[in-house]
This record gives sequence, C-alpha cells and structure tokens, in this order.
Amino acid sequence: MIPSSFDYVVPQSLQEAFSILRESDGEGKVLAGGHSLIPLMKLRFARPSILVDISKIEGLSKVEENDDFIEIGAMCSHALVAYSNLVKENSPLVAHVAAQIGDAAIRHRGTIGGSICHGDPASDIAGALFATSAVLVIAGPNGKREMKVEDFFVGFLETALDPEEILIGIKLPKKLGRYSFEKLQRRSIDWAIVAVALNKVEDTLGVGLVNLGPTPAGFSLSLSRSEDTAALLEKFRDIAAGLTPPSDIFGSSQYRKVMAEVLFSRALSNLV
Amino acid sequence: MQIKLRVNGKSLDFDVEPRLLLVELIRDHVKLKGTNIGCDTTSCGACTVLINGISAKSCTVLAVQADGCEITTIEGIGTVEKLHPMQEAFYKHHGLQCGFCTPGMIMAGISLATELENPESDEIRLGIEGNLCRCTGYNNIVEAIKTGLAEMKQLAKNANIESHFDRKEIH
Repeated sequence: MIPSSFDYVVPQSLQEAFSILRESDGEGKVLAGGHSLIPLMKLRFARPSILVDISKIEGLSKVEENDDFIEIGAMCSHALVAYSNLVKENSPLVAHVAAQIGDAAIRHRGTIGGSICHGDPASDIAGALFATSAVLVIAGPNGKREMKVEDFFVGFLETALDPEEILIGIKLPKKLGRYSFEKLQRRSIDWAIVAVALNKVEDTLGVGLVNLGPTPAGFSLSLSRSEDTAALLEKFRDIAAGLTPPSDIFGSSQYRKVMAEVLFSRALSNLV
Repeated sequence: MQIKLRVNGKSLDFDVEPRLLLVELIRDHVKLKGTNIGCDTTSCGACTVLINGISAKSCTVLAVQADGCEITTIEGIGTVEKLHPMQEAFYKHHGLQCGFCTPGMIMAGISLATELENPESDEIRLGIEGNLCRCTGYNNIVEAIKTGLAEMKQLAKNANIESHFDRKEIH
C-alpha cells in the first residue's frame, strides 16, 4: 500500500517546525515515530500535504527528573519509556504499560508523544497517563502551555492541539504507590479490546480506561478506610454505565462494559 | 529527495519520493529481496530489518526517515560459507519450514540481544510476538533464538567486545 504524495521536512528546531506548520495551512502533520500515522497514510485515511518530522529536534528524546515530577520527552520510544530507570523508579505503571504496547519492533519506533497525539481510544499508554494524573506539555509559536491529560482528548482521534502546536513532553508526578494493568486481547500484538490501568497512591485510586468510549478516558476514586472491593466495584459499575464503548468484530459495546468490570476487579486484586 | 544511508555496511545515495517505504527501497532500489513484504500492516514481521542495530518493521518506516541510518538486512549478517550464529542456530534447530518469515524472524532474534540477557523461552516468545510463522508452531524458532543469542554472547566475549546488552541505547 502506498500513501498519497506529500512533502517531507526535517526541522532542526521547534520554531522552524511551527513556521512550517503555519505555512501548511492545516494540511501539515507532525511525524514522530510514524507507527500510528504511516499505517493511516498507507490506507489513505490520512493524506497530509506535508510531513514535519520532529525526530531531529533536540531535547525531545530524553527523560528528565525534577523535584516532584519526571518529564518524558514526546519523541521517547515506547522501548525507552519501558526501560528508563527514571520512569521505572518514579512512575512504574507507565513503564509497565509501555512494555506491553504492540511488539518489540513497534516499541523501538513508536513514541509516547505520537501515540498520545493520535488520540486512539485503544491506546494503552493513554490509559496509564489517566491513571497517573499526567500533565502534557504543549509548545506553540506563542510559548508553552500545560494541560491535564483529561482535557486533551476532545473526540474520536481528535485532540485539543492547535494545528501549529506540538506536544513536547509528558509530566508524571513522582508519587509511588501500587499499580496494575489488565488488558484483554485476542492475540498478543492486537490492540486492547478493553484494558484497565490502576494507580493507587495513598487514598486515591487513579483509573485509566482503554477502548471504552470515543477517546481514552479515566477518573479517580477517593478511598476511605471502610471501603472494600465490593463497594469499589459498585462505584466502578456506576461509572461504567455511563460509558459508550464501541461495538466491532471483537465485541459488542455491552461485552466491553462487562469485561471492563471483570478487568477492574482483577486489576484491584493484582495491584503490585 | 536526496538521502544517504548505509545498507549492510555500504554507503548508498538515493533520490526518492518521500512516500517510498523503507522495505520498497531495500527490495526495489537496493535489489535485496531477502526482506519480505507479508501483511504490509505492521503485523507479521516479515519485513523486519535492523535500523542502527535494533529491529524495525520496514513496511512502516519511510525511506526518508532512515536518512543517515545504518540498515542491516538478512543479506548483511553472514555468508553461505560463514553463517551468522543466529542463522547457524536456525539451521541446526530446523527453525523454519517454508522460510518466508525466516529473514524477519532472524533479524528480530538478533535484535533481542540488545534487550535480553540469558532469556528464558517465555521471554523469547514475547520478544518475537510481532513475527508470525504459519508453519513451525514456533518451538524450533524459540530454541534456535535461544541458541543463537547464547552463541552471539560467547563470540562477543571471546572477541572481548562489550556485550550488545545495553538497554539505554534503545531509541
């Protein structure tokens, strides 16, 4: 399969990338690892007139540590996120989930930023970011802004990014607790039919939901001491009732809701 | 667009359309037909090559993205007289039947040396989850990769080369 024709540029700085995007008049697309975008272009579901490859812009491919958070550069591959000691030590759920995306070769090329900006509701890593209350760092011609992950996804494959903006980093709070990730797949490299990510820090349970609606989603529950598993499941059921998961050959919407509950309960008992 | 890359150690220049896929560059421009196109959708792994030493599915990489990179294909790792240890191990363990998945499988196996040290069979199975084989049932492939990785490690040790094993280099 051959994508339709496009121009290709490799800017060396963010400023250069912004001006190319501005000139492209909404027809340009940022290319990171290409493992979401290139398949779409091969199917001609996406036909950008120009690809802006941000892989040569300095500083986007590393993980940095600050006082109360770590920041993962948007161009970090899933493999790098999975193997990074900084991520493993400070936000182990995110490393754990990154290690389960696609397969080894996909993890070498696919990036955390690309995956988030693609906005697929079946993105594993987006679920992990909801569970860990991640903050996204977005750069544009007028400077930087930060956005909570829950404000980023606005519709199916649609994000809050302006056409000239680029996601440059993902901030994860350095808060350790217990975590788990349960993913339902038919074959090992398939997208999740449903997945649930949990991150329990002190008396808050962060929940990430994968493929349970038009966008990645999540919420958090505050845990009181008296709450047992049955009560938590009850709360989850109430929230799941309001979700609108897709129906496809892998399962109906109703099946996904039921399985989400099963995975949530498994994830609760598998917290590590 | 002008690009320059090294394929199996040889520096090559190309003038390509940006939409050309790396696998097409390898097969149709460099004329190396060992790298196969199977599913063309990032699923089957028949097109697996090494980009700067680690595995990638070349049907999902634009040739222009590989500008300046070192590409290694199945043709670049050994010769008929002197097989690469991973090829030798596939031969010894009969890790193939029809052979279509084999080039990708061998490249994926070699790449595992950068990620796994003394892997168990289960880890190898996970490591090659993106490479489909419809003939063998995988058992012999897993055995072959186990042997191949051990042999690669031994050779590196004998040659006093630092182990391939450095997860930090994976990008």
